[in-house]
Amino acid sequence: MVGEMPSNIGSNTTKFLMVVAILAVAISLISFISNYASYKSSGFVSVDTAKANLTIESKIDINFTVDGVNWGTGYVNVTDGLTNATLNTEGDMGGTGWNHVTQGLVLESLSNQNVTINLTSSNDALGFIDTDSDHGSTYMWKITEDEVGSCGPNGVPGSALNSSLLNYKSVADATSYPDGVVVCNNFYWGVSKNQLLIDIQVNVSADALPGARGSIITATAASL
Amino acid sequence: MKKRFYLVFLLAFIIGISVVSALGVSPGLKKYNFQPGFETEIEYRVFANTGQELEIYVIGDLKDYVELSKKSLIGSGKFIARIKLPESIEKPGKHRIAIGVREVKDEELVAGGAIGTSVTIYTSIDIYVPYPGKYLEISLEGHDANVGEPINFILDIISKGKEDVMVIPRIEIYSQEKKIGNLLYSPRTIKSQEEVSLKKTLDTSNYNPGKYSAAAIVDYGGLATDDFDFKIGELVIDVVDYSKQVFIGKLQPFNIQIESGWNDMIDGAYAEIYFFNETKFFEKFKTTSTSLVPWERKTITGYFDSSNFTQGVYNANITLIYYGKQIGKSSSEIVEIEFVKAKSMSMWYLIGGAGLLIIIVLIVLKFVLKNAKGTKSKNKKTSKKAK
Repeated sequence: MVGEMPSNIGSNTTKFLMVVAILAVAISLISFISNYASYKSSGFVSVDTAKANLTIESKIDINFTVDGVNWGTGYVNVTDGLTNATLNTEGDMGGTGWNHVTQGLVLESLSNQNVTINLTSSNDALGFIDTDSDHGSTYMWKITEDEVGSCGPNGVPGSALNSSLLNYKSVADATSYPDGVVVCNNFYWGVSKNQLLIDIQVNVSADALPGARGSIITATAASL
Repeated sequence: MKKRFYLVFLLAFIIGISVVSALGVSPGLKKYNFQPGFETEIEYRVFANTGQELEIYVIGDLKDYVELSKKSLIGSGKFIARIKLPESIEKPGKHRIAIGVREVKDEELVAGGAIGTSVTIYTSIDIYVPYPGKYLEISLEGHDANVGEPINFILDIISKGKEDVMVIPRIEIYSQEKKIGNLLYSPRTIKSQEEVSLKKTLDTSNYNPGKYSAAAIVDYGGLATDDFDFKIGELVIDVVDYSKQVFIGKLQPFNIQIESGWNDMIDGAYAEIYFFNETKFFEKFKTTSTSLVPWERKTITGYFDSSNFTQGVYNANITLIYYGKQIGKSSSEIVEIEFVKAKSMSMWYLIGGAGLLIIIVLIVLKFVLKNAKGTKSKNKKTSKKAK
């Protein structure tokens, strides 16, 4: 048996709920009107702004993409009447047995800033080829752009190259590390304009003592 | 000789027995304004071949104020440079501290017959010590544009003095050394060692195409100035030069040097040429087609049969046809071209041959006369003996 709710209790509850409902509707209405008014009065979609900060860090990065030249083994054949042999990285080979080499060293910049490049050789012809200067052996290099514009600020190719090294010159002036000699005072880093070519030429006297000798070529990159 | 053969020089040149030389260091450059007792730490990242031994060191007049967390690395890695500057530095201006990272090469390997390559990187820390009083350095940058396009100038102002400065910067626009416009900035104070970049835009709608110069002038008690040259372009190609003389004969080249006056790419540029005089139209032909990057100067060539021409001056109508941003345009001009007969080499051969013949005749003559003289004197001696 379902008992009947006392009529006075039901009536009070209903009144209470009605008041709550009216209040809720009133608050919602006020809120709606308020929002609508503010929306209508601006006429614009509100815009939030944000800042995105991004810093690209500078980097100096250089790389000998061609760091090897191998003439192999050979000699100056005096029975052919030769007194010396000239070998270089442009294909010249004046002796017997050595390889024809057609590629010099290539220095590439993967930096994101222009840099200066110095080159140093750990020794000259006396240390590398022949200990007797009277024999006349030589050890030289020349530096050019492997990609046009690599050493030319302001769009003038090659303008920042050391002009005295555009033809073969003895490395003797560049044996003091780390100074050596400035070969490019504005080495660019952009794609297809970031390679220098270092050609090497040696002249071996027939009187030079046989043996295997060595030299280190150091490239030093520094901020402008 | 055989013995000497065995004394010939024997040498193995082997460059690059060692691994590829490659080295990177970041950051490459840091700049700081000097402050008494300034302290900071910079973390360096090094990129190197695996196993490569590296030496790290400091050089520069302020090297004693730098401490390195590591003096060496094997392969890639990180290290920290701690800087603690003194309370004062006497000499104003830029002081450069260089952090050197050097590949260490095996000396024994070198002694064993190799030439190796090696890389050293110097990253820089520049410390700017302020000058006494007021001192400003400025630089102005801009760019080329076409008529109607805005040109944005950026004026960098760096206060390198110990005192703050009040500045009223302006940019003056010049055409052929005549001032034709001004861009004015608001007055502002630049604090000691502060660096600001100020932007200003030039509306080029009322400018004619051509070359201009912008001069930034910053009055701060003294004057700081910098210039920037720029061009305002239009879709046009000019004829700079052309073949002014053509040989009469079959298939002759005709060159036209052209120059773009447009700050964008021009495609499909070629020329149509036809020759005429007062009475007759002669020949019509086209050159090769080419594209031009902004402001580029290039030579285009066309070939035509000139065997129907006689010696003399003819008119040539050169019409250039080209496209910029899919808009086609053409321009024409009439020039005078001289047609000449190709110089024949036979005349020179004839003169050379005649000269050679004369020389031979003279030599023979001399020889004959000498012989005749010798015979005469011999005969005289013989006749004396007979007496």
